[in-house]
Amino acid sequence: MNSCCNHLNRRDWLRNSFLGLGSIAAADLLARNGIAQAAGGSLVHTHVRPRAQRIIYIFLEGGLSQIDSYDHKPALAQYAGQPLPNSIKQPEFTFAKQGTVIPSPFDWKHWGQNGTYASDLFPEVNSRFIDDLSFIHSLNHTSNDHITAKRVLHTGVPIEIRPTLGSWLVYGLGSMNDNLPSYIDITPTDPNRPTGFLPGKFGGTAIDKPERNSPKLNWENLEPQFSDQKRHIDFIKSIDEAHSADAELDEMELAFRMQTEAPDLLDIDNESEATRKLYGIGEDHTDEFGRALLLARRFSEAGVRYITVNHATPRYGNLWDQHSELEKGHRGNANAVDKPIAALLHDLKVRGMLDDTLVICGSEFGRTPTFEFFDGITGRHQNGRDHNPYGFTTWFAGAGVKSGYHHGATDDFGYYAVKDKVDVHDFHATLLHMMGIDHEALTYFHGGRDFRLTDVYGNVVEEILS
Amino acid sequence: MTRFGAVLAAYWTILGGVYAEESEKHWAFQAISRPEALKEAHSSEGRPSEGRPIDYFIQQGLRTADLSQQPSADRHTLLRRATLDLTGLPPTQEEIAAFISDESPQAWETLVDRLLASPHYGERWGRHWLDVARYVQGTIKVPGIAKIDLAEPYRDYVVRAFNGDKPYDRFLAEQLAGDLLTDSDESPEAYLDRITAPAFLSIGQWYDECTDPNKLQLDIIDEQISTATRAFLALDFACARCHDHKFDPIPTRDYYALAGIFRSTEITSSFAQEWKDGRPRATRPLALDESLRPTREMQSQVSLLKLERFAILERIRNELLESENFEASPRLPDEILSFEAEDFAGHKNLKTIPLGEGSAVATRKYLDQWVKYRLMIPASGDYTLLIRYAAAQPSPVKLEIEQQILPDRILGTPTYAETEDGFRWAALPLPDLTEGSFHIRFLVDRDEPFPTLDSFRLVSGTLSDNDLNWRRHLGLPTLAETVAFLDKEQRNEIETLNEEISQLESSLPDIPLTLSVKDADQLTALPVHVGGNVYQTEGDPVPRGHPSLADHLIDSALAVPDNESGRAQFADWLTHPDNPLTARVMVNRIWHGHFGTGLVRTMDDFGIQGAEPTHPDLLDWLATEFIESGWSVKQIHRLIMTSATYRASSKSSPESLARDPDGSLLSRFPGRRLEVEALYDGMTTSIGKVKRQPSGLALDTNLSKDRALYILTSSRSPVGLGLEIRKMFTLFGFDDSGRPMHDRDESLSPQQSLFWLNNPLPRYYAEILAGNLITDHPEPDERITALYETLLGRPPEAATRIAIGTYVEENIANQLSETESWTRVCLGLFSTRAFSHIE
Repeated sequence: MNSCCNHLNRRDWLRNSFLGLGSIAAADLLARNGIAQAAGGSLVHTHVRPRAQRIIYIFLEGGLSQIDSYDHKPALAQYAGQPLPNSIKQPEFTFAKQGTVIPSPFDWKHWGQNGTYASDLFPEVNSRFIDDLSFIHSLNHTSNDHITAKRVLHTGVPIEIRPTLGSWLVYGLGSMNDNLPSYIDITPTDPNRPTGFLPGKFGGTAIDKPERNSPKLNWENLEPQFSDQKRHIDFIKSIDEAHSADAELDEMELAFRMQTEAPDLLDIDNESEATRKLYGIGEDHTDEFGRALLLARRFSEAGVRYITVNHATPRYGNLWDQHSELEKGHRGNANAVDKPIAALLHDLKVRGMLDDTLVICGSEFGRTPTFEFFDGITGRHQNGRDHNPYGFTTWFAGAGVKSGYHHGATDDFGYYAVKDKVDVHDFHATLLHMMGIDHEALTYFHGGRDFRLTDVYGNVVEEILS
Repeated sequence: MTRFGAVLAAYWTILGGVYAEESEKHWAFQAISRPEALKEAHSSEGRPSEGRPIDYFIQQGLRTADLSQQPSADRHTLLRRATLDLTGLPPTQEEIAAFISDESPQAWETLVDRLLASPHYGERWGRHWLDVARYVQGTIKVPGIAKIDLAEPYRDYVVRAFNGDKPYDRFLAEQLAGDLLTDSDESPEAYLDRITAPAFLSIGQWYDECTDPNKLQLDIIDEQISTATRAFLALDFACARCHDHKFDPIPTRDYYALAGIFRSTEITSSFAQEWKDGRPRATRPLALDESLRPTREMQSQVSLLKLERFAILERIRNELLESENFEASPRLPDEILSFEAEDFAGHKNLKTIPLGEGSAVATRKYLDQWVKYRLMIPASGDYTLLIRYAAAQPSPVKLEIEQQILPDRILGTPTYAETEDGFRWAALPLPDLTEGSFHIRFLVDRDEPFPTLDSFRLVSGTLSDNDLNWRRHLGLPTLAETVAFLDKEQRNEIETLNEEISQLESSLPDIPLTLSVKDADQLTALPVHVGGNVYQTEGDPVPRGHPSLADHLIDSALAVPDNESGRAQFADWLTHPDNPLTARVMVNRIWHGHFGTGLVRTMDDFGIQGAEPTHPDLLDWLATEFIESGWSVKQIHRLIMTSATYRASSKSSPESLARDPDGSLLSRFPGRRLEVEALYDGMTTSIGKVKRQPSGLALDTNLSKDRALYILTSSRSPVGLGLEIRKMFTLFGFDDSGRPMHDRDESLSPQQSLFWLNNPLPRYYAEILAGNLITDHPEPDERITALYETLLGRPPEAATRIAIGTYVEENIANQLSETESWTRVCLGLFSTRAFSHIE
């Protein structure tokens, strides 16, 4: 037995001295031996000063076109109707035959004090908050289909099922509210997102419509079956006493507290008429996403660490995936989210929460400068764009990101990231960093080795931090 | 290389030296030896009874910690523990009465033997193996992963193998190479078993939508290697795809020696370059060759009749061409519009394929298929759409006009073939169209066949399908088109043939299928791929063969012959008695099944990074017993379950908690949460939905269909609750993404508690259970006893009786019905730790 322990210690010493894994060695050792993680998360303390206490990730599913929103490319108009010049390399794979360059159908102008040049897709956000936003224009990866691209954005790898950023955060940081889950997915497309090698308790809790036609959002099994639940739980306790050493009853208590606290939290009728109006609740286009983002704000206040809010509606075309009818689809989608997003930023600001809340807004990839032959060999419509993971834009707000800052750039056609390229590992390293975590030191031992969200890559994009 | 990458490389270089040295000494790569220590035990205590050696090794560990083992648990607890452990079902009231009243000294041994002979044993322990073999029930819910049909025969094979105590070495060999293990005088059952078993290699999950077929091929091999090496060796060879394993003695060459074996093995029936065309898993009849003979004869008869039909049509066409004038006119009379099928305005999962000088629109594997066209109508009125199509099987399509789906299906008739000669024209009347432009869409339901479409002509007026005039203007008839021009006699002749063919076809017996694995026609050796990159290789191909990590122990030659893939030789190497890992890994799995953790805690990692065995001598003793017993899994169960260690109480003492905090010394029996299957079966059996089958008889799967093992594929879930069952599975630690599960996720969450409190599924069972109890046991005290025995395998304590009585009284005082009051009691019991745990 002794030799075995020495063996472990020596190995850990080696690791720690080479990799500087100070604080988490103990937790790591516990994990290795199959002992449960401390309830407060695996990290004893954060590695750097956290700028953000929480993250709200607004995910525009399908692929917001960077060159029709925030990455202005005059060459698109110059080359309209022509094929891309040879200087722009052809990707290895496209979903349909590549057409010629099409210009952006939207109006572009200068916005805000900084004069950021952007299209009029998001007039509310742009006119009121563009100076608060920090842009990365050079985000890129190589996954060309939605499924793998979404996985890359959320987990760092395309195919294998790995934990999401949210799961890693909860695993590392634990919970801030004993009565609520720490990681919430609002209206996810794929509600059952496995946690990979992390235990299931670090998974996201899905909040969705319990019935298709009801505007209300809720989570599974929260609606009490009967009214006097307190008495029922007391009954369970009374018959389980002999066996109640530990965890189950805690979970039952937590479930009960969730059941007590959550309905109030989920009930946005508690908000003032003015706030509801601000988010566009009650207006046809904005009602759905307004409710989702208002809930995101309420969860943030209640101590949830990581919230994704997915915007994926077939109402304006296939999500944000405009292979055809770019103008109509993007305009409709943008109208549905613009006012609610502006409301969220405003709301967080007046509550003083924008200082330690990081808001992110982006898609799994951007779109190509060319139209695609989506509709048959003649490509009759010639008004949509194909997937483009090679260079696209995501913006950040709050938590001390540099205001009105633009990081990285794509080529003249907005196709490939060329300057200060940021890959998903850099993106994840930066988000962990903002939450106070050194991405190289947040590890989980599984299948014979330590895993990280960023694998063996990742550099923090210091430039976007003020 | 990133900054971190550089540091990591340096770290590995330095550690590499440390590890190379360590790996030579690493316990798992040393020969298995029967521990010397036991001789001591023998001599001092005489010949130990079956369970004794295990206790001897456990006691040694306890002594060093100055701990004593908990005394035996009470009989009720033991019966529930053993019954759930071996069959996944709680004991029945009758079984409880029988065991409690059995006063013979052999009562426990008798119980263990009865449970090992239960047909439900295979359902429980087969599932443990299915976890390792990454078998998932029904449709995978991971985007991009296609569902696997026909995995069920493999599941049933595994259940049978455990029930029959198939020697593990044979079980292993059949899963890798059953198709190659030919034996001239085998029983029909043995034959069917061994052709089913290799589905182990075929049921893996791969990213179906992978756009690079060459990469996908390597990825599939990688998945097979990783699954097999983790299952049989508790080492993951996948690390060595890109580089020599950082910690364990697995060079890349060993990886590619195995990769060559699997590259020379075929599991798909075709491997399309384009992902949308699919890479279907190959299937084979699950029947004896001789029983297939009549079917084969009928099939060749059908082919002959079809040839005859073509010959007749060809003759008629030649006559037609002589007697009639078929002139292709560029425009039909009253033609409004002519367009090609590939000129669609929208499509899903269809593709354009070449046809003659033009092209046609054909189907892609399955899922949703539709194609959409935009029509311009110059003036309101009646129109007809002429469609040139081919369909090898009946393919009725639905027609949607401006988002309205018309009630009748169109284009149903098959045209015998999808070759150029199989195309014919059909007339589709479109009455009462309004002037202007609109969309029409042809669609089929999910997984239905879609016809191949060539071209369209829109004419005004109503043309009938039987009207030959317009057909004459559409050029020379194909064989399929000839059918339209038959005279009465010819028509009769063809129809008689059609009738005969369809009668024969419909009387073909339904041959059950299973997934097929076989050696490829082309046997290949693969060179090392640099960084795992499919397009970058280094050096000569590595000869197919087994890993080198046991070369110091196994010196007999297991070379792969040139005309075989090498799967059989790989299996021989794995099951060689001198292989240091195979037996240890399997006895560790059996131990894990009984105690919730293995003697080596990292179930799928016996390498240098894995955990050390807590009781190395015990592990080796079990491994030698395993091999010497002829690899009998049931023998290992017997040894474990007859030990005092297995029978110890799960109650903890302060000393036991302080000096054996994680229970690895086994000072007490480690209680643990049951797997989701046992939780679900606990609910279904409580209402008598699953009949216990008697020990000693073969399993009747029909009677078992409602067990969790089958429920997701059997569509026999309670009405409307199928989805809730799926959700329950993932909520309680079942990973449905199709990766191997070596250790179920036992983590607890408030969502699980919310499930017991509010989900309709437990409520469904609680209501029926409450109703049954009220009917069967009018007397409340008896009712409580029955409830407790049914769900928890024991009578309640006195205080609990009072608590239940009080709760029911309160409920009734609150105006709740008797059924509802007792439903809540049942729900309360589902929520307890006692129900969801094995104690």
